[in-house]
Amino acid sequence: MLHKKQLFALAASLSFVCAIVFSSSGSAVYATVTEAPSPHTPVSNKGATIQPVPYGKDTVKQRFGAYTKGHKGTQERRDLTASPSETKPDGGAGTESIIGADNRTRVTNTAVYPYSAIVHIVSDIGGCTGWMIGPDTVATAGHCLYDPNEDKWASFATVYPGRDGDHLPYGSADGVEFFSVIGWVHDGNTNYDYGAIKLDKRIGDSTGWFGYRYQSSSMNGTAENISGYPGDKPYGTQWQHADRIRETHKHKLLYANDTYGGQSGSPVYQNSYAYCGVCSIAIHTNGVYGGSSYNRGTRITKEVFENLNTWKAQ
Amino acid sequence: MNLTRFSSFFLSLLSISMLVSAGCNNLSGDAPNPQPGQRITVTGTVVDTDGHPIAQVLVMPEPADDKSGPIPEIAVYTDAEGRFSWTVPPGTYDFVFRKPGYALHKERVQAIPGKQAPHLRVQLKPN
Repeated sequence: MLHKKQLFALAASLSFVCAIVFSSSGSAVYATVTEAPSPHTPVSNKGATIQPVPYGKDTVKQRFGAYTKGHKGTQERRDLTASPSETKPDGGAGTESIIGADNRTRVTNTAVYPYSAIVHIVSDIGGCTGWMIGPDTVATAGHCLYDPNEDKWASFATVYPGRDGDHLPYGSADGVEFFSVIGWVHDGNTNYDYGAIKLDKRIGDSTGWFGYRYQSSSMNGTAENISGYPGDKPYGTQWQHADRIRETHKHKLLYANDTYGGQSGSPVYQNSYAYCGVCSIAIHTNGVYGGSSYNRGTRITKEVFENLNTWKAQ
Repeated sequence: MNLTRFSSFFLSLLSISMLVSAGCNNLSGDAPNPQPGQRITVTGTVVDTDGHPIAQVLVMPEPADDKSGPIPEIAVYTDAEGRFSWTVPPGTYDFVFRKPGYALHKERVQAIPGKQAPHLRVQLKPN
């Protein structure tokens, strides 16, 4: 016969085990499947083994995060006025990624930093946006490079930095290798929707590139800007809109910046952060859905941050 | 302590654990993940009022209710034959068709697993 204290201990233990088993997102499940690779495991369209380089020479570690510095290249820096979202509602439900009135403004001088470091991506998957993270590396959404429905990588991708319609101030560069992670490529899970393009030339020496950072705490209220190449505007023109982070989740950040198809892969960035400079905190991926009135992007977490550093170093 | 009392205590703890677990999942706010096999491919052709195909029409599905999506914000255009293809999670969408010189057109589409994949024939009118 079990003693009362023994029974209590047994019940508590069983409950703890059950909580672990029934939790579908907890770290405990991860602990029971330690052999499974992380969804953040990087993959390449070439199938090559990717040596991790989680921290580069431009990386600065902080107490609750880290950042990798940006670089303005040969360009002057000029922050053009982006219309803010003060009139955007808090919460509520919606279905359109233009939230209320369209508050995007056209970037009239795309040749100045940081707009010079934002690229229009043309591939056989579709039109997207990306942002330079190094001399020859572009960060973007995973779905701009790999289609999990067709189970295929883009067969080509050409990037046009600082494009303004037919005006190409930095010409173009071709992608020679594409990167993403198995959470997107194998599972099509939008929580892991991010990737990068390695270019055939060091175009970033001229355009400059963005810094990027992660922090483990909430980013709610952080002022940010999104600039990219939406398909509902004149072809190949860059548009921006300022807002702030409205919701912070484990894998996603939500905001009320107006966006549209073609802006996937855009940087969600702070105009200035410490020595990071112009500093991205997320990669735009999706418009409004699921009962939320906000658009969303893949949050730069520690794992995303380390992969961006790794891809930059390849 | 009898077995019934122990069982009640254990089940209570188990219920609380499951509720907390479920609550944490909802609070995570991250995306649900429709499996690729559950997605539906919507195809179609865009033509002008004479029936000629129109190339470079931007085609964008917008979730029409809270249960539809997510949709990647990629710019998909019709090809030289006016054809397009979009793969979406199950749900209801307003497919929006845009091209300078033509009136904006919306088409509601129900994407239901196991049913025949929708195929649209869209006619755009000049502005």
